[in-house]
This record gives sequence, C-alpha cells and structure tokens, in this order.
Amino acid sequence: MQTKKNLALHRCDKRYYHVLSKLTSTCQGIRLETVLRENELLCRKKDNTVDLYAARENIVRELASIRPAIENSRAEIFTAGIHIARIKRGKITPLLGLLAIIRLAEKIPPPTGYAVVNEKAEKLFLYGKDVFQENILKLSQPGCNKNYVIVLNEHNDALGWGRIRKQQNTIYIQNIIDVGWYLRSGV
Amino acid sequence: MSVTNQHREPDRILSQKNLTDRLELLRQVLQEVVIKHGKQAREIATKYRWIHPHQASRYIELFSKEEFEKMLRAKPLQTIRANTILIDRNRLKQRLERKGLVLSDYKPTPYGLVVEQSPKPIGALHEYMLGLYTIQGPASMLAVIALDPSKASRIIDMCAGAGIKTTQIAQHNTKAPIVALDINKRKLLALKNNLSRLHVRNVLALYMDAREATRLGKFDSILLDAPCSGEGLIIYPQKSRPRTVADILTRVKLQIELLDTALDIAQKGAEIVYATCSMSFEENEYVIDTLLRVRRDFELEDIGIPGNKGITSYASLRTDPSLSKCKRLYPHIHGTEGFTICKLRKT
Repeated sequence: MQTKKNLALHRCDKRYYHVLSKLTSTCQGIRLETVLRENELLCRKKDNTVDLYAARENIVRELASIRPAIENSRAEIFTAGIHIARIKRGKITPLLGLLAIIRLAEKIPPPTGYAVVNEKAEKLFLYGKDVFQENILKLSQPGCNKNYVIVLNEHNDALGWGRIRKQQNTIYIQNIIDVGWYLRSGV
Repeated sequence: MSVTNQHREPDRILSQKNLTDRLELLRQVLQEVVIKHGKQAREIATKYRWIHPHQASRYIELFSKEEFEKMLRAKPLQTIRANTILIDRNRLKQRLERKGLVLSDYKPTPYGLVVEQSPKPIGALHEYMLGLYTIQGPASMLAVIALDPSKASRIIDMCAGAGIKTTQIAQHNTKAPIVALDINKRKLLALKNNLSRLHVRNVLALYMDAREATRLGKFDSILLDAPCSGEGLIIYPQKSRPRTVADILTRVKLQIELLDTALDIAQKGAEIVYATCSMSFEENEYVIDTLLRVRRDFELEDIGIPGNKGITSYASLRTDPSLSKCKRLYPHIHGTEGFTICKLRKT
C-alpha cells in the first residue's frame, strides 16, 4: 500500500543524481551542476518509478519544515518546483521540465545533442509526430548511446525531446515529448 | 515564521454564533431584496436564461435594472500575460505581431497585452506552448498587482487552482518560497503543468483545505482568491451558472472561514489581498466587514489599481467606511470581467 510517507518528495539519493548527470553531460554535453545551479533535486518513488523534480533550495527547506506539520492530516505534498525526469526500471526519460531548467541555465542550444528543424517539421512535431530527415536543418549528434536530442526550431526555441532512430538508409527523430503536450494533456 | 509540528487549532475569534448570526442577517436581507425586485428580476431571467431570478434581484439592488442590462451586454477585453521570466512584453508583442496578431499594452500592468485580433485561437499558438505567455483576464491580473509580493519572504496562494495567479506571483518574486494550496487534484495537476510550462521553480503545492493553513506557520504575503459564485463572468452564458440565495450563503460562509484563516496565518505587518471574480456585495465587503466586527487585528489599505470604490451600503446593510478602499471592476465600465479586490494589513 502506498502510504503518504512513500509518496512524499525527498532529496534524491546520489544514484539518481548520477543517472540524471549522465544524461545531461553525455547526451547534451552540459554538466548537471550548471543546469541545476541554485536548485536541488527531489525524488518521489511509486512502485518501480522515480520522478525527479528540480526546486529552489528554499523550497526544499520549506518542504522539510512543512512535512511534519501535515503528517497527521489529509493534506499531501502535491508538487514542488519543476518535474524534470522519470526513471522507470532503471531507464531515464527526460521531460519538458528538464528543457525548462536547461533554458533557464541559458544552455539552449546545448553544446551537443540537438536538432534544428524547419517550420513544417515544427508544426508536425508539436502535434506529437516524428521528424523526417529532409526536415532536419542541423543535427548535432548526442554523445550518448541513448541518442536523446533537444529539438529546436529555427529561432532556437526548445520544442521538446526526441531520439535519433535509423530506418533503412535514413534517420528520423522519434518524438519523445513536445510542448504541444501542454495542450493535449487535458488539464 | 516557524511551522507548528504539534498542530493545535488556534483560539477562534470568530465564533460559530457570530458566523451563524451574520449569515442569518444576510439571508433575511436577501429575501427582502428578492421580494422587492421580483417582477423586474423575472423579466431579466426570462430574457437572459442563464441568470436565476434571485441573482437578477440582487444585482438590480446593486446597480438598477438598466445598468445591470447594460453590463450584461458588455464585451470585456481579451488579455494575455507575458511571462517575464522568459520574455518581456515588448519582445513578445513583436513576435506575435509577426504572426498577424493585433495587440496593445494593458497599461495597469507591466506585462499584460490586450488581444484585439488574432488569426488563430490565442491558446493554440506555439508561443503559448513554449510558456512565453499565458491567458489571463485583465481584472485577475490586478489582484496580484495589488498584492505586490516582490519584497515578500514567504508567500501563500490559499486557493491556487490551476496556478495562473501563482505563476504571476512568481514573476514578481522568483526567489521567495510560494506555497500554493488547493483541494482539487485535477486543478493541482494543471498547476503542476503550468509550473513546468512557465518555468517556475519556487512553488510548493499542497493538496490541502486552506482552512487548515494554520499548520503551515506565518506568511508575510497572502493571496486569497476565494471560491465564489463566479458572477463576475455573468456576461458569459457558457461560463455562468444560475445562483440562488442559498448558493450565495454557502459561499459566503466558506469565504468568511477562509479569510479568518488568512488573518490567523498573517504575521504582523503582512499584506493580504482578498479577491473574488464576483461583483456581489455579499461575497466581498460583507465578508470582510463580518471579520472587522469581531477582530481588531487588521485594517483596509488603499490599492493603486483602477476600479470603482468598495460598497459600504447595500439594501439595509451597512459596513465599516474603510471598505470603500476596496476596488470593484465592472465589464461595462472598466472593460474587464467582474472582480472585487480588497487589500488588508495585519496590525
């Protein structure tokens, strides 16, 4: 049974920090410390899934002081800061929130691991579609074997996360998540 | 501003008897209003089918029949709020104008834009998805302008909903912790998504009844955008619901309880903005007046925003004269959705 304690947000163990750090540094060439800056990492575990959040240090202190105050009540911590990634059965998936904190750290475009797409592809990508090779204007190969790329438009706006895939003699960018999701999510 | 680990309900200044007596007085006065304006109210309710005759009576008492109908025909401004965490208003305006939108500055704010024309639905543009702006009514923006939380060190948004005002607070103060409460998990999920979309890192959101907020310690800046009848949107048939006197009394009871809690969690000198998307006297000046009569620990403050003065007399009810410092926004006068905003200071 999931208790309130089990669903609580806590500072992450170092191992989750390393998993996230590996993603940002090997795929995008950005040190996690640069991206997080004044933020801390928080984790919430449920079954086989760990959700990671980035929040300001004072939010983490606020969380620590509020948690005992609501322990014996129906109140729950719902969210803190920005939801940035999910780890399921050891595999990490970056979320739109991670793009947000990379952008706030002024690391768009990143050193590596990004693709610039044309206007046609931008529209399709924001509908949840993949990007075909002919619509990729520029590709900076990610430095990791997960092949995660940040998908950008021609104005350097971060549209979402993709994954480079090969199909016969071409490549395409599989849509992992795009900012159109904010409209499709239904909330 | 310590958080209480061992929670004990504070001694209530507002007793159950005070509350019951005030609600009963209000009920009697509203019954008289309904009888007084019954015929005209039925005419309005027949013509505007989303309005209950009780509502029509109450607003005829507030405005006059002619002015109420003029208000119902008003067309408020459509506005968006530039997300100044990512972009300033001018740059956003230039960017959207290149897409064919016609915009002008919403001058009472440093980030509001009036959408005069748009070739596409304003919530479907890429710039919206990228978090460069959010859709927000003009009066709604003024509630946070009134609060002015830029120098606060611990802020609470007691009824945060989807977080539109919460994220607006974060634009004013990107560093101080902002605690956001709501009792609707679907709205909290929307708030969570808005934090990500709008790049806001300093919010902690709790699923919590705001009447229990005394568990959370003291705050120096408090926004209470209280659950209300929504009559400020009475000009929109699709968004408005018919409200009887009984509906209003239920909401007034909750609003009094919430404001009482807001005053309990305010540290000395704290500023509280009480706001509703309603133009009713019952849900605004009457609520604050109820607490002024039993508590001596707060006062009304002047607010530097546009609007008509607060109402100190309605039917046979009279409030403290300081309630005139509240600001009332009307669709037919100010071009906004109906709203009432009052600013209090804990003494």
